[in-house]
Amino acid sequence: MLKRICLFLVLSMLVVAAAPIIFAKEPVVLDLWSHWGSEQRRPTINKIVATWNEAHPDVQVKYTFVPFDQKDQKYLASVAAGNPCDVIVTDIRTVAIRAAHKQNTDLTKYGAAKMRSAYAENLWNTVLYKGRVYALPFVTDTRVLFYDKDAFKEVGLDPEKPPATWKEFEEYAAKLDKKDADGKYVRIGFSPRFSFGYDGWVPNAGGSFWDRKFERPQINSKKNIEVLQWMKNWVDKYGLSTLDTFKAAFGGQMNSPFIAGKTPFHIDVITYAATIKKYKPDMNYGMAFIPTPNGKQHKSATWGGGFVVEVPRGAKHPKEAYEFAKYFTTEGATVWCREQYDIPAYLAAYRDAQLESDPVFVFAEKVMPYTAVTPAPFYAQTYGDYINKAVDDVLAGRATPKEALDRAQESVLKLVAQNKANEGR
Amino acid sequence: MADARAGRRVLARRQILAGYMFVAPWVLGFLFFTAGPMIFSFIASFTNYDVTSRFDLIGLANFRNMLFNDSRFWTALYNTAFYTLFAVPLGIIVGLTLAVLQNVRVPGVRYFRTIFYLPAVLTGVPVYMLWLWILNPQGGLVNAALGLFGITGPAWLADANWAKPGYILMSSWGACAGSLMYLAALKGIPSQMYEVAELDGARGLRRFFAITVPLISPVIFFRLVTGISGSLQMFAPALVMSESGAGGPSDSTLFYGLYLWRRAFVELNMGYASAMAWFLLGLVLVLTVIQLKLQHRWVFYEGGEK
Repeated sequence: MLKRICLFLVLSMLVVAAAPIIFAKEPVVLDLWSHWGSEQRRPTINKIVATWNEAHPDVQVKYTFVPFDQKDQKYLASVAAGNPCDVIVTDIRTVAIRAAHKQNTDLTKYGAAKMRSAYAENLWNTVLYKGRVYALPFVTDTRVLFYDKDAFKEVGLDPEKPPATWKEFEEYAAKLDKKDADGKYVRIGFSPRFSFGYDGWVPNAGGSFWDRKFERPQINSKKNIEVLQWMKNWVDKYGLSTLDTFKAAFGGQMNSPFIAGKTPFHIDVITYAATIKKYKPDMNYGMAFIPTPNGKQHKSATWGGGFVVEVPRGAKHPKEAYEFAKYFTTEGATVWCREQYDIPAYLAAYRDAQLESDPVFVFAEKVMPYTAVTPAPFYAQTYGDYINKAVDDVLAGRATPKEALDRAQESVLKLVAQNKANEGR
Repeated sequence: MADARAGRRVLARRQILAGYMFVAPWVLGFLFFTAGPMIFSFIASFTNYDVTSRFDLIGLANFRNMLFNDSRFWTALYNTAFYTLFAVPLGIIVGLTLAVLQNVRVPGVRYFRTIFYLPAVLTGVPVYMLWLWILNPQGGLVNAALGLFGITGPAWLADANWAKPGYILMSSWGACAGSLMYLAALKGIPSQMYEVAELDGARGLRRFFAITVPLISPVIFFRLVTGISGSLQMFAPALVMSESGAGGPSDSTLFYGLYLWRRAFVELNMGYASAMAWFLLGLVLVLTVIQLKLQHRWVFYEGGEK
């Protein structure tokens, strides 16, 4: 009898002890991946996550930093293994490709389509595949011309009048060239080799490597050949090896030639303003539109990349993940952009008081209408490799622009045909 | 009589068993971890596999495209062959030279051995970062050294003509570690051989080529075979050291492994990449068989060939 009572007591104690575990609702834990882990980026993302966690005791978010150059592979491998994270910050240009490869989750069934009007239209377009929504747009960026006002003054240029046309750009740059007694360049006005690149200058001149649907390459178009010839001429003025040696002496952001006063022009994403602020806060610089051939800004005068938020296919809690993604790309994006100078996809963020009073952000907003955010071509993600080779060959004098671009066109046509054949099965 | 034969058979069986026991860890590892993926990739090479959404048989299309429709495939193969052709002999020469130097009886030779072995301790990405500085056109160690002789060094990795030689130069880093194997072989050469040779009037280089090289030729042969297969698979340095890992400038450092990787993980064309991997395996096999056939012309095994 005593034995039984003891047993009963022990059992009931167990039940009482276990009750909180059995009856209390376990919070859902979402795993969030992004490549933001630097001392500049990390505090902001922590802040965004902490705000959510405080308001949602039942849905807790755990943040994991994944290095940028490993993220795509880890994302792919985790989906293939059936064990992905719940939310991931990833590249804006390749959403449709991942959708076609069944890597991300269709968010339409959670009501994502209703969010359409909350985001900038050109960014919203990047998250669609066959009319369904596979991501929510987070931020974009844009490239602008930074120029050194002190150098302008030194050579008698008006520091409030940056160049607007290609011709002016070349003239200004020539004025800013400076050699030492031995005839070696100590300052190089500008070279299209340094920043922006051929893939920036082609759309800037109104050209394109692709047709409207990004399916058929037109790499060797007349305009593209002209632009490459223009680059070649400008590089030849200095000599390729002069430029490469000049460039090789610099490395890293702290040691950027623009900040060091060695190149008075620099084209970079607008967040470069934060870099200058960090490494040379007293630098007297200006920001301007990137010059175009005729001086008129148009909708692809510069370009932007950016990031979206996706829910990987096979995520354990897609519904909660979507809710977090919505918060992250709206309220979260506002906080992010205040601190990081990125440009939000979320339109309401533009009316944020702090952002509206920031001159860098205000300028970024002005540049946005002239910024192209283009998807990666569906059938030729690596087409840039072929173009880079063409550019390298031309600048080193191994081929004429036409020869090199004809070859690239032929190769990319083959690549597209192969990938199309694979897709079609 | 019969008993003795039976006893010998038992012994032989035991020895065979022991042999299998010794190779078992490798065989088991191979069966469990490597064989499966290998078979899978062989099948995948005949499909349009992309990891997440498709796995349809497409016959020989991958191989056909690779051989007849892809100029970059040939560029990659050429770059890799070029690298192998120079890096492997350089590795053998550097390794052997260092081994001979370390074999000289001078005070403090142990310290030199430690110093020469240090590069083997340091490998991977940190070494590539180091070499980015060594090969830096301005102020890099190599060009600074050339400058002492009044030579203006090339831009190395930034110049399509000099990027591959840059990587070949870098490959000698690993050769230092290889010298340890030569050193062990050198130690095994009986000193009487040299004494006899000296009596016969052979000295210096003649002694080196008539005695040293033949007697350590099995090690050289081993380094040659593994060196060729290793060089053909060279991948990581170009991924780390070329701009955004794309094999530039002008595709001059697009090595076979790097191109395979880009097709597999940038483009998700896993089927195509598998086809490339099997082509490389075939190539390595053919080269190895040729070397095995040719070896009896120059490789000297003490106690005769097996």
